[in-house]
Amino acid sequence: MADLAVRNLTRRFPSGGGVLDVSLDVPSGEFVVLLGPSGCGKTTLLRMIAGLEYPDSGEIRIGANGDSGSTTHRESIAMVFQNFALYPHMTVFQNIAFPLKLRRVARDEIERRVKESAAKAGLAVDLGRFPRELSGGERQRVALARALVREPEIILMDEALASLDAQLRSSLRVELKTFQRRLGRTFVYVTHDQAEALALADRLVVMRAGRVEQVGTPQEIFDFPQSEFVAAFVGNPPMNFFSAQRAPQSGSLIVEGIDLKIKAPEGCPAQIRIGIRPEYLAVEKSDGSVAIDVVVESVEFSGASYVVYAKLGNSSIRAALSRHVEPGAHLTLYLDAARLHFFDPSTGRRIGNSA
Amino acid sequence: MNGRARDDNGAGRTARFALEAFVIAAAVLPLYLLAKQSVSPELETFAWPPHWLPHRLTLDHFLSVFEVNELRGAILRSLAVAAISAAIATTLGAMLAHAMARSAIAQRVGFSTVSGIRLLPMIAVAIPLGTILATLGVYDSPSGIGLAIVHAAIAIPTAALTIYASFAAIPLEIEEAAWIDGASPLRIFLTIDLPMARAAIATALILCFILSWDEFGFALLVQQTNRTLPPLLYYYTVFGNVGPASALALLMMIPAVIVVVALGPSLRGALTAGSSR
Repeated sequence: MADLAVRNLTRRFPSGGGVLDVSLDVPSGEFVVLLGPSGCGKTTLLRMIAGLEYPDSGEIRIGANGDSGSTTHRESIAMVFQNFALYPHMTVFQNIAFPLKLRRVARDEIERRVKESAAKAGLAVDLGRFPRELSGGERQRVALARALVREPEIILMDEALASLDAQLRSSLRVELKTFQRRLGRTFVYVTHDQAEALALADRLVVMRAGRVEQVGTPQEIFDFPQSEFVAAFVGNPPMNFFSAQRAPQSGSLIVEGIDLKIKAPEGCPAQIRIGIRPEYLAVEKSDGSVAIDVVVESVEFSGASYVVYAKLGNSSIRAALSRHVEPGAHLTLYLDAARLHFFDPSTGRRIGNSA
Repeated sequence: MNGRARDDNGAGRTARFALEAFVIAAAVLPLYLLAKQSVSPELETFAWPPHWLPHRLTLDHFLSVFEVNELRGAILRSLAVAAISAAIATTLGAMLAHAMARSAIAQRVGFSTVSGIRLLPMIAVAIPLGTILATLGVYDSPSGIGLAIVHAAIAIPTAALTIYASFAAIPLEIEEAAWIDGASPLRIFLTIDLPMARAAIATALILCFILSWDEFGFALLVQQTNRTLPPLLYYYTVFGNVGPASALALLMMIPAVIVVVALGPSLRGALTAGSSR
């Protein structure tokens, strides 16, 4: 087992985008998820780790093995592609056996390892069938079995669940996580789906415009987003943001002319962005909560809660409430002051309580 | 092809039937005359007015085709030249097609070269080609290898264009997966690309084979004495051996007939392979 180290990696494309000066350390056995909107460079980063793409500068090392692109580097990684990239003219068995065949492994050894790998990946189909005869989930398992069969140190996955339907995706998500734990191998997984990222990751790398925005556990990313971008990108329904002014005398925050009676954090500018997740707005009063009056515009039922879209002055606000409210109603929401996030509007970075 | 219903009235149908009958007759009549000549005795072929039906049948012309050494040799030589040139052209054409499908530069260069070769008047290269073949010692060789090389060169664009779409339709991800699995570029080409494009490869082989089988100009120039079928047929015709020439012409159609009858549906599939899923 080996650690993956990415050092000052840069790759620019003529059309824009790419990866800019990214450094990252992945201890062995960790499930790392690269998360970001499309075009943020997460796939380029993964492809460079895979050796499919060369960096303009910087380096990638896996343990003591050679640099990316070298044979030893390629030996230590395997990859599962978004559309699985199975070889359509080969049977399931031949697909999984392909990496071993290339390494001239003895025939009975191939037979044994293919079966073992198929079992590990939970593949319960006739190995003599062709990929086109399989369902999406089964193809996914074949791709996984093919990645596992030569026992790589790191498994790379590019949106590997994205082409499956929602139900299958969530069940495979759970399975993939337990699978990775049991195997103890390093996974680097790329997705733009924040729910998938939160569910899978030991550590989450949020990327934006080619740079790493924040690295942390899902809990850290969710509770202490280091920038307004991360705060907005992670969490569903997304966080509410407001522009606030600091009252000159009291130093408390004013949103849409409403004094929140909350002290602005130390050393914050006169203008500030504040954020609150919809889950921390409630219809019941609690300790340390601040009342705000809103007008309900529309309501969506999400199963677990009612997502209420309302107006606070000229700003829109989303709240995840436990009960239904009528559109058009005047409502008092209680905002949990301890759950507020503060951001500097000029830099987008977090201010205060950064844990 | 499509299931669209036609609401023809009677007159329309009659007109269409007449047109179809005319087209079929225009295509079939020469074939019928050729077949008639090939089984008519020598005297009858020049009868005036011509007979629509042969009065006596003979297989002499067909027998002569197999008995006369020159004819038998030409058949074997034509087969060899077509097979060898098809194999060379398809191999090199497939490599060119793969480069064109995977590299923007190769695509640009490839398409302009391919269309350039097709626009070039072939006879313009006859003299330099003759010199080259003579230097190589394969001019008018009994095996026909010189002509096979020329035919391969002519057929490469056809092979490349036939295969190109199939390679372009193979997702890059599949080649990348094979690379990560540990395969070398040549290995990827041989074990992933070629099998996935096998329908197009087969089509290219057939087209190149027929291209060589039918080729007249270079065959006339390069195989001056060790002739292949098309020039031989020409000589037979101009020297008045109409019966054997007709028999030979019919025999020459066999490869085309086999291709169309036996491989018709799959050939059609192969020619459009890769254009849709």
